[in-house]
Amino acid sequence: MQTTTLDQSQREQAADYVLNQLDDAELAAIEQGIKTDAMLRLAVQELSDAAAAIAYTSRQVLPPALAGLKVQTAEITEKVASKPDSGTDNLE
Amino acid sequence: MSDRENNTQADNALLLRVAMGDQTAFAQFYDRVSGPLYSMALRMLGNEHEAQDALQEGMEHLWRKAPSFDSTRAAAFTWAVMLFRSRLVDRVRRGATQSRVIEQVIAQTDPEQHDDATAVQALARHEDCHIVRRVMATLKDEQQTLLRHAFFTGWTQQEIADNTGKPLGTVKTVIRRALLELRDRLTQEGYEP
Repeated sequence: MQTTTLDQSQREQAADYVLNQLDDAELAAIEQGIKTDAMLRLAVQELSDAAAAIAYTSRQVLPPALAGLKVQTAEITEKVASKPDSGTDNLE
Repeated sequence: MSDRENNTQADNALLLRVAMGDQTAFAQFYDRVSGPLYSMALRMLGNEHEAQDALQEGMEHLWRKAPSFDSTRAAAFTWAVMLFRSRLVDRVRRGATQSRVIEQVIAQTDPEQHDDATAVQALARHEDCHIVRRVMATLKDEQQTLLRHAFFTGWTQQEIADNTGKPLGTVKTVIRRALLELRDRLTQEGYEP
């Protein structure tokens, strides 16, 4: 599953992309590359998996909703329905 | 199929249902991911009130963005964590400073010593949590520290260099290599996001 055909520069760019370390020009370039290069897309996917896993290395604490309060997901869905979204994100 | 693979499929299936507007699936997905997301918010923002606000806002964002989720391009857990982290980084870069304090305090300590035991038991993926921590501990100390800085502080590499006193080139090289090695070792351990 590991990507081996990308050169070092591409792997470094992918790592920087996943950790939000690219400037606007670099970001535009790699996002174009992701659209056309399957290996780069896979590299970003795998590095994103690894980066997301870092979340487990923080101290694990229950959010209040799971610590006893009622989960208000219905409120969220109702609120979102009444407010349009703006902005874009990676991984969409 | 392993339990971890089942977890991946369960998360993906739930998020695809969320994308269809299924509120029950959204509540179930919330239960599965809110622990790690809240813990990450608390780590990055440094206080419970702001972390709770970020979780609420972040879950609203996940609900809105769920229709864009593509299970062939990202695992649901990864998608949720990285989308949420982007929002947290925005908050930090807008001016929050608490993360700097928290990072200084606990960066070098073992997170398991600070866990809420109930939180770990409640994790849908507690085995994954243990795998990730074990694998992270195999990285060199400098790699662990700088990679955590890059992930949890929202700092740019230049800010990390300024705050750690290390040359920018070293910071970039160490963080990139650390993430690549973490990916390789998680893959070797059979980690399923």
